[in-house]
Amino acid sequence: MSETYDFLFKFLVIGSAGTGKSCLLHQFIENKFKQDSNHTIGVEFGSRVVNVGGKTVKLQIWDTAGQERFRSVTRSYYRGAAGALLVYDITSRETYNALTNWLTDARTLASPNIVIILCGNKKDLDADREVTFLEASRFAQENELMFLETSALTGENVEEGFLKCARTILNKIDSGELDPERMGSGIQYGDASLRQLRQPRGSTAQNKQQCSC
Amino acid sequence: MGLTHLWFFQLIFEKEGVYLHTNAKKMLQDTTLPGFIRVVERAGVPALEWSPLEDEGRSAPAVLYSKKDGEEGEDDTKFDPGYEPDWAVISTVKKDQQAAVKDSGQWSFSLPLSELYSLRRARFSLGRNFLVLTSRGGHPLPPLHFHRGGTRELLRALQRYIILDQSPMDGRLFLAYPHDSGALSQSFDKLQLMDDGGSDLVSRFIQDPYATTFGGFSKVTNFFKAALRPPDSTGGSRACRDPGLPPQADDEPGFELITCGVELGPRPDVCRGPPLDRWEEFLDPEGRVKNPERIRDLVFRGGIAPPLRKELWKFLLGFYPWNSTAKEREDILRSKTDEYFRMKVQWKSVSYVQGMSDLLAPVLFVTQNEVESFWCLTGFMELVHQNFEESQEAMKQQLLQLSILLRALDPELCDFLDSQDSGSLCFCFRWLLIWFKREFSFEDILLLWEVLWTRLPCENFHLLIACSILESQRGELIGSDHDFNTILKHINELTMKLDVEEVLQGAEAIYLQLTRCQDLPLKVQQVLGLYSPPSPEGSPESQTGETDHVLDQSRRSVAGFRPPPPPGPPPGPPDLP
Repeated sequence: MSETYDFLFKFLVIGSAGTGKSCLLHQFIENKFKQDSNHTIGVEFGSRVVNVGGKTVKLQIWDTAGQERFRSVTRSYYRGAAGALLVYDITSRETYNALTNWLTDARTLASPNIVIILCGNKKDLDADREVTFLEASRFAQENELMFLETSALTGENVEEGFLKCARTILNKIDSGELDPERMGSGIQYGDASLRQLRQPRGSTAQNKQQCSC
Repeated sequence: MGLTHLWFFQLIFEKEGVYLHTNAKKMLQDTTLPGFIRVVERAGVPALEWSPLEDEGRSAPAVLYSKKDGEEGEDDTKFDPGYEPDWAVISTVKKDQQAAVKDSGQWSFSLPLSELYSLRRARFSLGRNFLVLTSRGGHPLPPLHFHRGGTRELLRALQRYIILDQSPMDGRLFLAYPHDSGALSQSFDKLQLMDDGGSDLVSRFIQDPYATTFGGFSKVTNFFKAALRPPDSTGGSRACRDPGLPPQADDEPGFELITCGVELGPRPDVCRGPPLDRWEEFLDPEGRVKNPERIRDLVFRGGIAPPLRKELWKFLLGFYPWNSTAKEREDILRSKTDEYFRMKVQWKSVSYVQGMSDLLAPVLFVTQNEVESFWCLTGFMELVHQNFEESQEAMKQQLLQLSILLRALDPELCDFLDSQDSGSLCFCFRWLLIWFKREFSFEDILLLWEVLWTRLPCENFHLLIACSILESQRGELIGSDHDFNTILKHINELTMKLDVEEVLQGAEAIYLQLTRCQDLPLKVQQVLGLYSPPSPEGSPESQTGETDHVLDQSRRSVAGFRPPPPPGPPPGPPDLP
């Protein structure tokens, strides 16, 4: 049985090793913290269908290996991503300092219009904080990123991160800024929207879609 | 049929009994359609066409060739340079083109010869020839199997219009070139006269003439491009396969690698054996292993029974030398234990690379001992440490070697992967980095690793395991609507779904099949460790002799404990008259 959704978005989770990328994904998909998280080799997948602004969106999330030496490999998985969570660890300045590199990779290798949200993870470890909220939000502003501090442990802001990213993409589709049909957009129409597209004009009325014109 | 689309039609060559393999999505079940292959001129434009048998009478050009003699059972091996083709008559008729081009079933195709990029003639395991055609757009066409021969004649016919240049590296691969540009402009003149009845075909032809595409699309594969440098951000490499678009600057022709398409012989049957479950009888009175090669053979064939693993792994991983006595081993253990703890107090931090813990866990599980697991892991790392190096050169090299093997083995699968921008095989990265640790259950990985530690039948056996897995997925992949993303996802999700015995069996069979091949490309031989500088009378046998011998030995030694393997197909080229 295939799921019904309006859109499928390809998402990336990127950032340095040990920042909690896989745990963020696990928390988002399973709603719990992954205790014995294994290092990601290459790439792992997760997906979840979410409801954003009246549309059902399937997020196909690619969780990548963070260690520097594997970057040449993980980069090849970037192509055609619509959104990305760029993750650093608020208790590790090193992971914060590496953000520029990750950002450059994402902007050059994935879709040029990729929507990126910066996630300062391990928010629960505030006592060990090395990167202030203010500093990171300034960085986000300068680089046109959305920004949240998250905790994969408590789940705080995890769902928000993914949803915010998805919502922004949807808005860009609505405004025409993003064209889902463009090759490499990282966006696909799902069954639901295809059905709507195929429906004869007259029958769309019964869908009660307000101002979809 | 209406008469509104009359074409100037010439049948140049025709051959029946040509089966098109649709590679329909059904696992392992390709659909084959019988039909005709033809070389025709439509309004002066030469094209290669295939149409299914069932269409005949409705859309086929009249059969207008004369045959010189019976055609059945013909085979390439009969060919000699003075051979005259058995097609002869070229006739001019007017024909209902609309039917032939448009209506002849979803699988029929008409490929203007200017669109033909390459042609590979290979032999199927049953001895039949098949052709894989690639268009300039980069798309492989469905393979055509010549059940009644005729590939050589077809090549002859094509050579009237195009130059088929045999690849120096691989005699089975031909690249198509135009004879001269004059002929081309003539064709264009004629094209202008046509109505838009075949507009798709015609517009493709016009938008993609030799002048603009020749060179621009001259790539058969994009081996490794993805891994070596960033793909362009617009997904352009996929877009540039669209014949309607101009070539991308990124498509430099210098970056191509053309190999293989060899005629491989039949794949032999392989039997795995029982796990090695006796040990004492292999030791001499002092405790030396009497015949280490035999042990290795047995482990390769069937793995090790769990209770013996703790002892045998120490030999396989070089902690104990095979020829050490029991007394010497006690000494080794003592001194290595001291050494370990001396080093341990000095360690501040150990450089750790992701994936190494994957390698340690099974070793720790089996040895149940900190010191032994450290030294065993050290032995293991001797084999794989390059995978973890900063440069990742070894990983890139292995992916490249894997693609060389796969191209020899299954060019069609390679073509498909190339067409989906997946020719770099980057989805196999995890397999190779940690020797399939995450693809199999813990218990299976113990077996798979001890097999690999024997280094039999060649050091790159792990690449053959990868080939074995990929081949098992060809039915799922080829002809599907998988793209780069879903291929990666599909391969990733094979984890815990693979049968380790089947995979090992397949890998060994592939090894035997490749090494028995008479004209295995040099590159493939190198990957398999078969290549040695040619001796004055170096026959292929002498090159493969050694490794075969090792395997023969192992087969013989196992034969004492279990029934001999069922007889495989006879060696040597099949179905010679």
